[in-house]
Amino acid sequence: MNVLTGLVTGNGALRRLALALAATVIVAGCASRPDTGQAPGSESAVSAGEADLYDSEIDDTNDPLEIPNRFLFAFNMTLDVFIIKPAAATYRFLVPTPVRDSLRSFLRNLRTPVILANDLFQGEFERAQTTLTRFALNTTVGVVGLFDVADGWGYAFHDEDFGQTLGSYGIGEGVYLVLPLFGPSSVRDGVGLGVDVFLDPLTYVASEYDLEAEFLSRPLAEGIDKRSRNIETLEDLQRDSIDFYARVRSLYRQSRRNQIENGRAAPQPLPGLSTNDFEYELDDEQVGNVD
Amino acid sequence: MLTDAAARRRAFLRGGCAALLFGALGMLGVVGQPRAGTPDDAGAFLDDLTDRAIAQLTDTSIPIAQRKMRFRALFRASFDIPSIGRFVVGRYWRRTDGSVRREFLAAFEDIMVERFAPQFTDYGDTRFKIDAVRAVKQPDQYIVSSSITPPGTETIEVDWRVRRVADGFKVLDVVGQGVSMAITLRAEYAAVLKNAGGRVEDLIALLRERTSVHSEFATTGGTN
Repeated sequence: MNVLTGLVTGNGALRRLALALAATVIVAGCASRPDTGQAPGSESAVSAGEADLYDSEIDDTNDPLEIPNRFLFAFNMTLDVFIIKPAAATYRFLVPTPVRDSLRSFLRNLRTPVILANDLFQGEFERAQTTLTRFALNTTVGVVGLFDVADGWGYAFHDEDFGQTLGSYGIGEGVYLVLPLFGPSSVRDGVGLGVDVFLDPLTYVASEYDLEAEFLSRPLAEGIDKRSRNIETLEDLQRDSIDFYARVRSLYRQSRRNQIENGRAAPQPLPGLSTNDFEYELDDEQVGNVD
Repeated sequence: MLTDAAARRRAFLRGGCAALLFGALGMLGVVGQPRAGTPDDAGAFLDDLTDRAIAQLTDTSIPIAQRKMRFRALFRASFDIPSIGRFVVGRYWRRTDGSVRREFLAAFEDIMVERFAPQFTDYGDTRFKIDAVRAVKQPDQYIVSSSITPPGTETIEVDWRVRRVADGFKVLDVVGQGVSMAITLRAEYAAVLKNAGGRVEDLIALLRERTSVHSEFATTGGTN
């Protein structure tokens, strides 16, 4: 989560972060949503249903910075191939599952203040209560968060971040961004990332006691843990992809939309899907005799 | 005297209430009665589909080539491939002529088979539960919400958009944790098509290339 913080940590880390944050906000202010550039009715003689199918807002990629974004995406992918993925795979190979689960529980427990603050900002008091209960149970019974006992008692983990909080206020994503190391993001979520650093008490503890190295190790561990749990998933995602950048962009934007709705996002309408049926000859030889 | 009247009135009111209540229930009963092609059937269709997929595709002792055939048959029978194919090509569909469209649909089917047929080997002990079925604005379409729990991992919420056809149902889209397969593929293919100046032939070539790499991977034992 907070690799960026780690990278800029040093003397006056907070001040530098504030500057970076300010810069992001300024970018956010300037970057208005791009016009899709589609002149309405540019190709005429299309029925209403067809026009829906062909010119839909789901086709808006919201990505005017595509060229630098693609460059950073390639950079991240290279980093992943040579460093992050091997590290994650080695970690998964060497460390037994219960230990890895404990580490994840511990890291999640440390994140409590940020999650709680965002639960509250969103007015999600029931979820805030879950977060608090989890913290109380896991810190005590679960031995400083090493064991997620709360999960078994009906208090499942959920994550929150300030990007989601902004989203829940109805603030749009701004333009799509690929951040170095962090990967897919947006102006809104990038700002959220910065705000979460301020919401985290450990930020102040670290800068007070000169614990920058320790502070850096946490996001690193979080990153490796997350990656080690997604090795196959990412491989599967990539395997049939013909433009992985575009695929990830779409995945990111859809899944953020769902996260903002706390997993209850209504399915997006799919314009024109399944109207005007037409014939399609299937080649039966490929199916063969099945059972 | 007065208390008598009051009691009678209360009894009458109670009776009236009961009648109203039963009437309402009766009406609900009529409305809720399943008839052919209702949400209940959409759920049953999906239950059946997942049962068959698990029965036919998870057995690794069957050669991958045969499992691919089975998957293809199941995929064709249960997914509306032409509608999905046209949707994922999006705005470029209209400028593409018939033979290229057919070629695209074939290439699209192939890559889906290569991609998903080997996937089911991990799903043997997967728990599948239908949570809700609801009709949507589009006529004859339903969203079936399900929870899928592969062994040892967290439950995933998957929504299936299905539509009623003459002889049952077909799947139009699969939405996992808010991510729609149709929208994702459409976004990806749109990026490719934009770079190719809208030539669907180029998209087909890329899909074919990817399919063959994939196919090699599957037969050399990667997932087999």
